This record gives sequence, structure tokens and C-alpha cells, in this order.
Amino acid sequence: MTHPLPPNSLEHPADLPFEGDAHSQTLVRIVALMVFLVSSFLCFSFLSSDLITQWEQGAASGFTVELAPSEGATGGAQVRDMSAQWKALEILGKVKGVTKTEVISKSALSGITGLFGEVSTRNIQEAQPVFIDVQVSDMSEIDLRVLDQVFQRHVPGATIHPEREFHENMKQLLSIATVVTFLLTSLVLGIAFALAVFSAHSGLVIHKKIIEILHLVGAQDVYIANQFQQHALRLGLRGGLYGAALSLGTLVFFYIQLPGSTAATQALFSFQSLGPIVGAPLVITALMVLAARLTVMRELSRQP
Amino acid sequence: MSSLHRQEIQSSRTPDLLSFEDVSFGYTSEPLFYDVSFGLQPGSFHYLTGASGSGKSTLIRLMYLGTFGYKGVIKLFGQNVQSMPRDMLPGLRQKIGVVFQDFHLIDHLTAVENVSLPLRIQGHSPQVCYERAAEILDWVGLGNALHSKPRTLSGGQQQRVVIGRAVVSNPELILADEPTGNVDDATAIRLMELFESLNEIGTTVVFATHNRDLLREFPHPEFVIKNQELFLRTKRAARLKRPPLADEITSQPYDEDAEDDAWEAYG
Repeated sequence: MTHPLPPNSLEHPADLPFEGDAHSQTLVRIVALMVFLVSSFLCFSFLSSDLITQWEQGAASGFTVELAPSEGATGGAQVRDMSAQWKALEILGKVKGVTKTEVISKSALSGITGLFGEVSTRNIQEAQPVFIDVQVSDMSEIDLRVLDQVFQRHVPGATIHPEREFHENMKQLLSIATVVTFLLTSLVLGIAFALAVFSAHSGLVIHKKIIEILHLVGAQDVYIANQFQQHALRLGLRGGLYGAALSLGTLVFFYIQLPGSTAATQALFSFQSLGPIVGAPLVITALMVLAARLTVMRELSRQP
Repeated sequence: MSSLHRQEIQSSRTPDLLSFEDVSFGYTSEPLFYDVSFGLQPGSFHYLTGASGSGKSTLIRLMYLGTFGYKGVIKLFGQNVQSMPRDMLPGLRQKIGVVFQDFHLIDHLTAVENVSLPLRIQGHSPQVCYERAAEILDWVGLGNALHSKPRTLSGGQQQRVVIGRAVVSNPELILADEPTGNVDDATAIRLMELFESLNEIGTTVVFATHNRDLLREFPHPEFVIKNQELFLRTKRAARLKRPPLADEITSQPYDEDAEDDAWEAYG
């Protein structure tokens, strides 16, 4: 009797029925969550590092002088304000190391305050402080305390904002946050490894009878380990896909929430953000595959 | 050392396919059998009998390298298996077909997939696996049940699938551990005929059973495990249609009276 080949006969069936395991679906969800966490942590870390670098460059080159407005909206007050502004610029011009001074325009100022939702409630014509952006070649040459004393003497009401100090604090904070996120990432990756080890152990127990049959008919340990590896690969990729989709959805959510096309929105879809979303599932899957192989090979080598 | 194997070695003949030399084994401090020695010539057919719990299945397990921790020497295809590295054992197991009383089939695979399992493991293509397994299932009379899952088959059909799996890769040695234990008499005869035909084409068979009817119907030399020792009953060999092999006319501790009693009891 001849038997026609069935349509699926070009593929070998899976000897070990992992798909029927009750914990397989749960594992996919856990992997998805881990991928989401790892990609989020890494996104945050990379974007923070990028931000720190940008701040480093900006903060190293300047500070800001704020001139408080005079009381009242009379013409005399405006003249006093203009005078104070010229005086401040004159003082700054004499400071060694200052390369550029620029009064921040009212429109630029309203753009900045607009980010914080103040533009609609504040009349742009109303008396506002004047901000002077000061660029310097080397901050170490400038003693801001002495400069502050000079300002208090000649331009009362002037305040120096040493951005660097603020940036330093922020940088430290972000550095700590970056270290914490890397630790958390390592922790999640460790959990992924442990989970794969646990899953492999469970699989060995659940499918003990079939593994015995496979050995009986002459299967090498590596043949059985390959089946566990393939299962780990499928779990990792499926969970990774869901997790990556979740991360991408989160990015889109933030993109919709942020107004207009800013540096922040552009950063959301930069390599720093998309890299971890693509990389995290691959790394976690690779770890799971490795853990499955090592565990199965080690356990089987202990059997007769 | 028991004398059986030594005597056989002295005679000039082809090397044993499987030999036990002073093998003792037990799961507890009390051994199941003690200093067992015998050899299987290629192409021979032996029954393995003994009371329940006497160690028949354990002896079969030792033969297919399913358990270790024994004392003595087991040689399979001329190689001492205890000194072999673990990764070489599967190669030996591929030369052995094993049939169990409780089938040991993989439930989620179809009959043809179960039968082709040894071929898949040996790396044959899906097409070769399918064609060869289908051919074997035809031979065991299950050509119309290729895609049936084991649970949908009767005990006798499942046993034939197991036999198909055991022979699909042309093994040199078939070890059957009470393969007729869960089937009716007619099916047992049908299964036995399959083993006979395998033996006729040169496959060595060891057949553990307690079915005396089969022993009468298909006479072959019989190893008996009794009182922790292995005996060879040779009278049945005289009823063979072919001349007995050298190892079939030797014996070790042998109780002729008991043998005669047994013959009388079973007519």
C-alpha cells in the first residue's frame, strides 16, 4: 500500500508538547512584562545620559542674570529698567572670560514659560523680569560671588543664576537614577535567566516520560536540549514581541501627550529609545535560550 | 563465575551481540540477581521468564542501558558499556529496539510520527521518516491508522505501533518486555508472529513473558530467573525447527526435575 504524503510532512513534529504546558502562556506574559521593563529602563537610562551630556555642554558655558522689574508700569519705571539692563551688560562686558551676553527676548521668554502653561494667563506686556544669557569661555575664571556683590552695588535687584550648580545637582540625580536603572535592568535579566532555568526544570519533570522514550530510541542529550531551546526561543520571541509593542505604545502615548515637535518628542523616536525596544527582546530571548540549554544539558548528564 | 558464558566462549563461534559477565544488580542491598552470565548470539531468539518481581524487566533495562549501577561487565556489540562515555550510549541504543508491556508511546503524536521517532532522531528527512514509518505500519497491519493518536487505538494496535517503532531503524537486537501482557490471546499470537518474522530475517530477540501458551506455541530457548540466578532451559530448544545454536545447548545451574514438572504442568 502506498501512502500519500500529508501536507505538513515536510516538517518534523515537536516531540515534546511544550505548547500544552499550563505555564507556557503565563511565561509569555512574564517575558512581555520583563521586556517592557528592561526596554523602559534602558530608554530612560540612555535618554538621561544624553540629557546629561547636553547639559554638560550647556552648563559649562554660562550662567543667567535676572533683573527684577521696577514697581509700576510708568514710563519712568521702564527707563529705570532699561538703565539697569545697560549697566548690567556693561559690568558683564568687563568680566574676564565672558564671551557673549544676550538679553533673552520677551517672545523667547514667553515660549519657555508657555511650556509650563503660563502664557495664557499672563499678559506679555506686563512688567516682567529681564534675563541675560551669559556665555563664558571658562567658568573657573569667574567668581560668581564677587560678581554678585558687584551687581548688588550697581544694579540692585539683579540675581545671578549659576546654572551649573543646578545642572550639577540634576546630573548627580540622573547619574544615580541611571545606576539604579542599570541595576534594575540587571535584576530583570537575572530573573529572566532564573525563569528559564525554572521553566526548563519544570519541562524536564513534566515531560520525563517522553524524555525517557527519546533516550530509549537513541536520542542524544543535545537533541532533547535543542527542543527545549526552541521552546525558549518561541517563548522569548512571542513575549518579546508583546513587550516591545507595549513599550512602543508607551512611547506613542508620550509623543501624543507632549505638545508640538520639540527636542523631547524627537528624542522619543531616536536610537536611544528604539534601540532598547528592539534589543531587549533579543537579549532576553538569548538569555532564555542559553539558560534552557545549560540547564537541560546539565540535568540530563546526571541521568544514566 | 557462572559457567554458562565461559563454556560458550570456549566454543568457536561468532562474537556475542550482548553478553553479561558476572553481573549482579539490585535496587536495595539485596540483589535481584547475582553473578549472572550469558551471551546472545546474533540471530538468536530467547524467552526470559520468571516469577513477578524476579527481575525480568530489570534485566531488560540493563540490556538496553536503561539503568546502571550494576556489578560485573555488560558488553553490547562487543563493547563494555560501563567504560563508555555517555555520549556514545545513544549510538548503541539506536541498534536496539525495545517493546514494553505498557507501550511507552508519545500521546500527542500520531502512529506514523511515533513510529518514525527513531528515524527523526537519526536525522532523516521528514519525507524518508514518513515513508519508512508508513511502510512499517503497513507491515504490522496498521496501514489504515497512520494518523491515529495512540489513545484512539486498542491495546493490540498500540503494541503493534510500538513494535513498528522498535524495528523501523532495522535494529540488530529487539528487547521485548512482556509485549503480550496487555492484549488478548489472538493478538498475542499475531504479535508473536511479528517477532518470529523479525527473527527470521536475522534480528536477535529477547522476549520476556510469563505466557506459557506462547512458549509452547513458539518454542525457543528460555532464560529463567529464579532465586537470584539465571538459568537456561534447553529442552524447548530441542523442539526448534532449526538446529539450536551453540549457546542454546549449554546450561548453568539447571534443575531438571523442576523443568520436567513445569512441562507436565503445562502439558
